[in-house]
Amino acid sequence: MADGGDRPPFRYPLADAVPEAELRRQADALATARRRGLIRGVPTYVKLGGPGFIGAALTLGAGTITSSMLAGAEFGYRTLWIFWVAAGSGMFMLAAMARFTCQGGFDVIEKQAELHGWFLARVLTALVGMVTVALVFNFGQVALGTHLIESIAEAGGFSFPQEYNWPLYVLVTSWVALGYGRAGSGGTRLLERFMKWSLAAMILCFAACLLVVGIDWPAALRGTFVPWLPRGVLGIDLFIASTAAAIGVADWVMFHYTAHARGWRREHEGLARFDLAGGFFMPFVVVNFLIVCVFAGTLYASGDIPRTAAELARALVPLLGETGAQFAFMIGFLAVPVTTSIGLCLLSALGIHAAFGWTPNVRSWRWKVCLLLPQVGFLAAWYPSPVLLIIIIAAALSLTNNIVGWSFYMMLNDRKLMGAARSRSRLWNVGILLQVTLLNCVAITYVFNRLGWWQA
Amino acid sequence: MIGWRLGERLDRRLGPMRVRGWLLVVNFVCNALALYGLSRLLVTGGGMAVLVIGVVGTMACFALLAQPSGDGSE
Repeated sequence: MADGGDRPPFRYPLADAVPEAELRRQADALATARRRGLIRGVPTYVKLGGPGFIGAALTLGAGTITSSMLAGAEFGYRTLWIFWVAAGSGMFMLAAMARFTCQGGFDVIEKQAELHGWFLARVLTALVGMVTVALVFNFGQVALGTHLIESIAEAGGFSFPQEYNWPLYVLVTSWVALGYGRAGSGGTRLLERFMKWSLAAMILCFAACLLVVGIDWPAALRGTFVPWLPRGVLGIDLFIASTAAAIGVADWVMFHYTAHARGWRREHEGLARFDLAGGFFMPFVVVNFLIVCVFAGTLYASGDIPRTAAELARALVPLLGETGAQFAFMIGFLAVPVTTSIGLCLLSALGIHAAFGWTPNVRSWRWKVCLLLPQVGFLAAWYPSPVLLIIIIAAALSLTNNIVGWSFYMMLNDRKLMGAARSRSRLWNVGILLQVTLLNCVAITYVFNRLGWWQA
Repeated sequence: MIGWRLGERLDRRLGPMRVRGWLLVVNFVCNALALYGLSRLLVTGGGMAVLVIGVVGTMACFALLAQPSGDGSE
C-alpha cells in the first residue's frame, strides 16, 4: 500500500477543497524551509501547520484544565513534570498517525476494519473513541463556556446569564466548525487560524496572570524536571490518569483525518512532525504549566479547594487583584471550552462518517447534522452534566482505548500494509508501547477498582 | 542480522494473529500482574514476587515488541 504501485494516490474527500497547485506550492515552500534549516524554517512550518494546533485546542478542554487547576491547588508546582511526560508519550502514536496519512495513503479506520475487523474499527475506534467523546464531553465545555461569558459580563457591569448566552456560544462554535473543509470560503484555514490564535490568547492571558501572581522559579523548575507523586495508590492513580488521559484515541484519529483534509502526503511528513511538536506538544505543555503555576501561587495550601472548573475560577479571580488580570484570566479561560467545542463538533462528524463508512461531504445535510450533534450540550446551560452517561462513557473509553492502541501499533509494524514506510525504529516502537502500556494500566486499574483490589 | 531475523519471527502467523499480536496480549497480562503486585504491596506489604514477575515480563515484552519488522518474505 505505502509503496504505491500502480494504484492512484489516495485522496481524502475533504482534501478536494485543496487545489493540486496549492499542494505543489506547499511542497516547494517546505523544500525551501528544509534547506534554510529548522530555526529559519519555523515561520513556514507554523504558517502551513494546522492539524496539530487543532489537536492541542481539542485536548486543552474543560477536563484537562480542571485537572491542571486541581494539581496546582493541591500539590503546588510538584506535578508539573507530568504534563510534558503525558504529551511526550502521546507524540509517538501521533507520529504513527502522521505516517499513516502522509505515506500510508489510506483512511485509517477503513484499513483497520479490513485488517482487524469492523468491531474494533467502527465500534471501538470510531463510535466509542470519537463519537461518544464528542457527544458527552461537550456538555462540560458548554457549561464552562457559558458560565465564563456570564462572569465576564458581570465583571463588565451587566447581566448576561447562562440561560440567555448559550445561543451566542453555540452559534460561534457551530459557525467556525461548519466552515471546515469548504472550498473557496477558506473555512479550513479560518478554523485552523482560529485555533492558533486562541492558543496564543490562552498563553498570553495566563502568562499575564502569572506575571501578577509571581512564580517561585526554583520550585517550578524542580517540579518540571524532578518527578514527584503523592504516596500510595493516589499517586499511581494520578500518574496513570494524567498521562493516559492527555492524548487518546480521539486525538490520534483526529490528527490523521485533519491532516488528510489538508491533502498532506509524503513530502508533508516533516511538516506533520513539526506540527505535532510545535502545534500540539508545546501549546499543551505551556498552557498547563501556566495554569498550574497560577494556581500553585494562589490557591495552594489555602484549605478547602473547590472541585469544578467554574468554582476554581471563581475562587481564583479575586486573588488576582488587578481587574486587568481578572479579565485576562477569564478571556484566556473562555478560549479553552470554545476551541474544544469546535474540535468536538469536527470529531463527531468525522467519527460518525468513519463508523458508517460514509463519504464526508461538507455541503451535505448529513455532514452538518453529524457535526452539530455535540451541540446538544447546550442543555448544560440549564441542567447539570449527565453524570451517569459520563461515567458509562469513561468506563467504555478506559476499557477499550488500549485495544485500539494495539491495533495501530500492529498496523505501523505491518510490512504488507506499510511496506518501506513501516516503523524501522526501536525507539518509535518503544514510545508507542509506553503509551499502549499506560492505556493498559487504565483498563486494569478500572477493573481492579470495581473488584476492590485497588484501594488503600 | 539477528534483529531482522527476530523481526521475521514476530511477523509469523500463529493461529488467528501474528506473534507480535500475541506478545501484546502477554504484555497486557504482565501489566496486570505488576499492578496487582503493586496494589498488594501498598495495601498489605506483600505481593513483591508478583510485582517483580509483572515488571520483568513487561520489560521482556518491550524488548521483543520494539523490534521492527524484517525485510524478508512471510
